Amino acid sequence: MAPFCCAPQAGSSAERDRYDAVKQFDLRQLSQVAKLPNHSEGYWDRFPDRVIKRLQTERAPAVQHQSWRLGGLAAAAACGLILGFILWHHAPPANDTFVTLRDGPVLRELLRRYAGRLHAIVQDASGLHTQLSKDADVSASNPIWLEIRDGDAHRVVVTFSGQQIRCGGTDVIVLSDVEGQIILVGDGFFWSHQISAGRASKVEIRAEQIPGNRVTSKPSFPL
Amino acid sequence: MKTVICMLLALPAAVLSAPVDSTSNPHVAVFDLHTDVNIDNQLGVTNAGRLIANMLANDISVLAPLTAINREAIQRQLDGRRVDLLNPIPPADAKRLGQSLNATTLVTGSIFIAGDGIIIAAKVVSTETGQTFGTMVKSDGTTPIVDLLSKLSMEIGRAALVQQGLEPPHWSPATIVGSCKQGSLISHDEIACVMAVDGRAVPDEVNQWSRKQPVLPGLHEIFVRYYDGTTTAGHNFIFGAKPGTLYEVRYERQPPLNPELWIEDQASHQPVTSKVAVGIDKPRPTLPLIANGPFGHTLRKYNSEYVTPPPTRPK
Repeated sequence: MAPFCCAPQAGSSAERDRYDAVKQFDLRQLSQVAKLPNHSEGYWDRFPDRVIKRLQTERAPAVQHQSWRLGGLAAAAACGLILGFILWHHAPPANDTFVTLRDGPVLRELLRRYAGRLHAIVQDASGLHTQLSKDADVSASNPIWLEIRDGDAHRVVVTFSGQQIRCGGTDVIVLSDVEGQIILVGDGFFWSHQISAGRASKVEIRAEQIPGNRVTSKPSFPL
Repeated sequence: MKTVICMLLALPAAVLSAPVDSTSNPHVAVFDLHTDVNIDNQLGVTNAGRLIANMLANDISVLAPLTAINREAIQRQLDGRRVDLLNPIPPADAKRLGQSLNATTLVTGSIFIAGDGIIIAAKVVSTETGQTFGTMVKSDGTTPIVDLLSKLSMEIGRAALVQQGLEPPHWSPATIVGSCKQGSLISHDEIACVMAVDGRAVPDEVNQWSRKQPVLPGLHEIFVRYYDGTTTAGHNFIFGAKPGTLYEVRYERQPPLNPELWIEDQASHQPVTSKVAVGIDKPRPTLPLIANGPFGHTLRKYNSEYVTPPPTRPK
């Protein structure tokens, strides 16, 4: 175990060679023992859903640490705020999945899994889907959260600046500027917070840049 | 707008681009912008996307430390292929394109008509990482297109510098003033002044000759007026204003010859336009002999009846 924990002090070249040989031997042995688990068919299809569920359940214990009085007060205040928000906007609040998508942990988890291949994560009426590239050819640009209401269809999309998505019946490019302002540009389609033109005027869009755009290299637990 | 665009079309593409140097600062390649026939018709030109890309490259070239890649070289390299804003550029393709053009940054864009105004969106892609930013400018129908492009070029410049890990500087506007030679008891003052900037007239321009007129960095159309109390002459100059530079309208006249007009950098005294011998407009029918006398002041003022107005542009 020692060779894995700390590097040897600078010594003779013979000592270094012996150390390297031991390390390579141990690594080979380890890679033979630690084999990839065999997953059932459809495991990767259900992977995004499992990520979301897990992230939602991982949040719950943090709340239980609070005392019941504080929890009650916070819950009452939250209920009041939510009720007020509903009455004000006359629209239902976003569900947990949408919020989880906007907060970024799902994105970070999937980015670790599909490094350089993730075009977009789409949540619609049929569930959560990932749009993956065959090769690792997706650039590391700012992640963007989009909520699109096109008639009765309601979707939440998490994608990156420079990627193409389907919106308003056409292909559009999603872009964010240096300060995080989002624009959507397509053939006869333009949308930004300030102005929309062409087919974009028929679609209701909300867009935000997801904070903490750098993906950490923290290891994830197997799902 | 049509007048400006037609005048700019006459400029050779080589003038609208800077030579590539070997420094590590951003080298920006601007590709033709995406347009359609409706936009060409609205702007009154045949290829608005190419024209605006030329103007944008010129505006970027004045923003130190950026360098704009020669637009002709870009056309040659592409050889008919299109790099379009509407298609994502994978990092490997961006890198290949960057190497072939010696560019660190690729810029594509699209033009939209929204009501009375115009929207220009641009995509800025790093050739090293593929990192992509977007930016946009919009006019309300009164902003000259040259000012829109100046703003867009500065936004593109900021994005290109951020992608390179550099701190974007503040590009302050340039300014331009007139020049004057005091007259004597028997002669008027001689004044060369700015009459209009990008089609916007400067009010009371002769009396305001020393007032600094701000111009955003980039290509601009400056209508310049010469006036000596008896004759007036004017000329339209197009030049690229560098950030923070003070320019001066200059004149030279050997009577009875026509005056020569030009614009120069006030600090270096280097002309930034060619010297143009300008035709005299109609002489005034009645002139006071003593211009600086008790009644001379009002008569010295510019009389718009006898000068050619600056080019008008449709909204």
